[in-house]
Amino acid sequence: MNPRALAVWSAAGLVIALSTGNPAYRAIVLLCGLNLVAARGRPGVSARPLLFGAGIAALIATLLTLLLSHTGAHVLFRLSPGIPAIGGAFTLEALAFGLATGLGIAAVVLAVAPLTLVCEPHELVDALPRPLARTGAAVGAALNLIPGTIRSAREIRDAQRMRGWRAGRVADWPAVAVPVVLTALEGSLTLAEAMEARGYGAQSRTHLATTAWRAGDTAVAVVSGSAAAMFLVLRFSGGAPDWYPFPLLSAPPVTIAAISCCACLVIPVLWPRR
Amino acid sequence: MLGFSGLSYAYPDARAPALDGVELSLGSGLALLTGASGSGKSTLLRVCNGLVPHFHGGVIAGQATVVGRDVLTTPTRELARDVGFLFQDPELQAVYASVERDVAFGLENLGIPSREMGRRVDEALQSCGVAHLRGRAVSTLSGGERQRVALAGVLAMRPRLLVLDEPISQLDPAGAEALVAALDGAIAQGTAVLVAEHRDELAFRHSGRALQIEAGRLTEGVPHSGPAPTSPRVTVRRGRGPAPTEAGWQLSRVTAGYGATPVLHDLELSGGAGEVLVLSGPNGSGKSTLLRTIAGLLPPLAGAVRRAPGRVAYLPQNPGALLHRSTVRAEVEWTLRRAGGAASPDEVLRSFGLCSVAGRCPRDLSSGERQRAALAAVLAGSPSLALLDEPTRGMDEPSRSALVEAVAGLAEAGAGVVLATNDRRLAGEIATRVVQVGEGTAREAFSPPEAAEPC
Amino acid sequence: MVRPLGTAGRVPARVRIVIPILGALLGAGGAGAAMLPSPSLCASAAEAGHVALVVEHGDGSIVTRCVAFSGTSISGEEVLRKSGLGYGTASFSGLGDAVCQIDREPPAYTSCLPTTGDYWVLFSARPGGAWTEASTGISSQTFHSGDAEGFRYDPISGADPPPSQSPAGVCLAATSGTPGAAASTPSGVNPALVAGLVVAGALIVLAVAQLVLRRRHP
Repeated sequence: MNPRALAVWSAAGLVIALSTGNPAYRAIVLLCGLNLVAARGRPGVSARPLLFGAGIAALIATLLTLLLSHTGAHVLFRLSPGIPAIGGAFTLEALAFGLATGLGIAAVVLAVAPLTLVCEPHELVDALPRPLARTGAAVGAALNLIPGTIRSAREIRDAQRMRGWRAGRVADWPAVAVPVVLTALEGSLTLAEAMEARGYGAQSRTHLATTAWRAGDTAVAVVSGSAAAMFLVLRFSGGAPDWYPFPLLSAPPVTIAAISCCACLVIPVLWPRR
Repeated sequence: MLGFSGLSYAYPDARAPALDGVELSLGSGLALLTGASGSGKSTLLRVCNGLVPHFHGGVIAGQATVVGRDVLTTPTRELARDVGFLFQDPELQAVYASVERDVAFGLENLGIPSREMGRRVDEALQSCGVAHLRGRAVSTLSGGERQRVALAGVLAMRPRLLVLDEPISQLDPAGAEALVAALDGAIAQGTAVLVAEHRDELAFRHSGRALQIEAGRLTEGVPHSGPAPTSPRVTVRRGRGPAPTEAGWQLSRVTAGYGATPVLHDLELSGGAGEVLVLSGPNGSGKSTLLRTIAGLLPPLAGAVRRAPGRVAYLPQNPGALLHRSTVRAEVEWTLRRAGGAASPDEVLRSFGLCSVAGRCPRDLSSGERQRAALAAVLAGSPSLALLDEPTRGMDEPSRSALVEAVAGLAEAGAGVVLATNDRRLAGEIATRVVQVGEGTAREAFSPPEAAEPC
Repeated sequence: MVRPLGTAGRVPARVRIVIPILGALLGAGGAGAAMLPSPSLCASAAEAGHVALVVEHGDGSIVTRCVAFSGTSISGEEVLRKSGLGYGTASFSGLGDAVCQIDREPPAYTSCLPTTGDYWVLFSARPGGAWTEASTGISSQTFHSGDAEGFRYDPISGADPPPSQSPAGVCLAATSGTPGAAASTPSGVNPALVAGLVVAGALIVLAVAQLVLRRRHP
């Protein structure tokens, strides 16, 4: 999928997830993101670390809200109010609000995750807008240097070990750190020379479009963009009410219009891959 | 095409000029430039597209005109329209991650319209024989393939003058052959080509001018045409030293590799003191893996590695990278202090011809001197086992001789030497045994060739 | 361009499996939603009741609270206690407790109902109704969900005007509608909720299907 279309989708997801506190809408954005990652994730790239991180962040948000906000009608249990910050009542409302906040964090992460999990890094660099294309070239070149630097770091460490170096005190590390840094600098200078020699630095650059823009990309961009716009309209006209559990917990109010706007974000999953 | 007149140049903070009154005029056809490292070869080449003086700074005097433009006043990106430059290191030229995009990089800089770009990229990939690599990621390519892709990127810009700075020095014979074949097309089309190279594969395919440069002064050599009869060979005393009595090292049923996929299966190999064992085989066959296993850097996935006690010296593939002290002498002392050994630093420096540069920073030296300094740093003291990984890659003649002397000296002193190399000439000069590494095994080859053919 | 592995031929199968599942779920959910009776609002309201509390100070500033309670009724004093505002009372036998101080007004007092000056007057209101002055003290006042309790710091002589703020609207944010205003609360919320649940369920099933397919055809 074209990274720019995906960027529009991510922006739509972010707009929806951040403009409302209603966990129902946030949950739908989250599920759409999950679906996209499951459907279009690059083979060989595991989504688990990212999902795990999002889960941990959501859990922390929930716990913090539960521990620090003591308002609400349904008290689960009490701690002596003498304890600073966390003393007081732990209420169901606080738990619910914490869960909604955590859900929001997870939704934001999953709205942005497909950009890295679905597109190749160089596709993202390519998709930068024209004024940033030169920066994109420099960033791409720098990315190319990374595997070589890692390899040379390992070789240098092995070689110094064979010369008798032992990884012990901090004072020993310059024997590896200095050559690695110097080698990396020399490498980047060489690469810069090569880029100069190929004409880098000219003002007017053209662009070889490798990732084509297809009908599917237009569909994704248009549907996501209009879904987000419609959601904002509903939000500020009262058609997508927010949710505030205090002082008494209640089910989050949902409207069909808002639900359909959020559900539109599933479009990149349903559109057949080329 | 190219005209230098009274050209002199000195790098910033340099003690001596790199170019000294160079006079040169070049038309179309092939010109081969030879010279020791530090002689000004690379500098001269870089004047052709303006990297010297615009990228490197320094002080320049004289006149230099390339494809009708004055180098001193035209920026490199202008000259790049007509002058293509191919560098030595295949891994430090790719800008984008995909082959297609990388080849188009130069065209993007030139402002070629997108439609035309696609066509030119196809053409260039075709002429370099890498059209089948079009959709691949650059990081998955071998060194030879990467160098050909880089050449395609240069040829796509349709330069009138093609300059190559030791293009095959880092490649194995197969990769070198392929690149030279790719160059043939460009030469046939009438592009002027200026190449600096030590290796033989290039020198004897086409007829052309021979230029020699030494200490910044250019002289014209005898124009070569076709394969030369013989090349001067260094005769080395192939002393056997003490007969390999007890095994210096031994691999029993060793499976070695990284992670889940082993590269070598069920190996039985051993080596003794006083012999020089050469591991030969194409890149990626597992020579480096085998060396690291013998060194003890890579624990085997199965089997046992035994090594006789004593210091093990290991020279990695890019030896200049490990230099970190402020002077060459300090570098040698660092090893001697840690690894023991009774030798004095001066002795070591003298045996590698480094006395004149002993007080200089090793990273500032020319590439040949740097490699010699790294050799000295690694082989200092008296190691009982020396493992060298592609030591002659990118080396000039004086450094090669120093290496050959050092290896012979080690073998004579009773150390065991294991060398991984693609350089057949080197194998011919010093090997007592040759082991072919490939397809997961290592087989003993027949006795090493007595007369090494030039190519 | 680097293409992901194994794209050819895999997509139609996936889309073909997934769309019918989605359609079936949506259809079932829609039919179910149409058939479910809309649950009475009283059922949800019985979980917790609300009483609106309006306190008007002598300077005209108004403090409102929405007090929740479980059960069917709550005493006037409980309402004040649950509201969290500090208060003081005095007992008048036969009439129950009278409120002497709410929210630090007056800052200090010796006699609860002074002969001159201001005192706290208790009002109550039924749902949708206006304030009426209470005849007994707060301990003997009983409020049901949807009622409102009001206090105004009025001069002891003369008529006692009620709090200037109407009790309506104080408890609106907390619940899905007071029982008294059942007629105006839209009951169309529930099908949307069901639709939302159906959509979420469908997305979950979709994600699981993707993962299963992915594992089967790596």
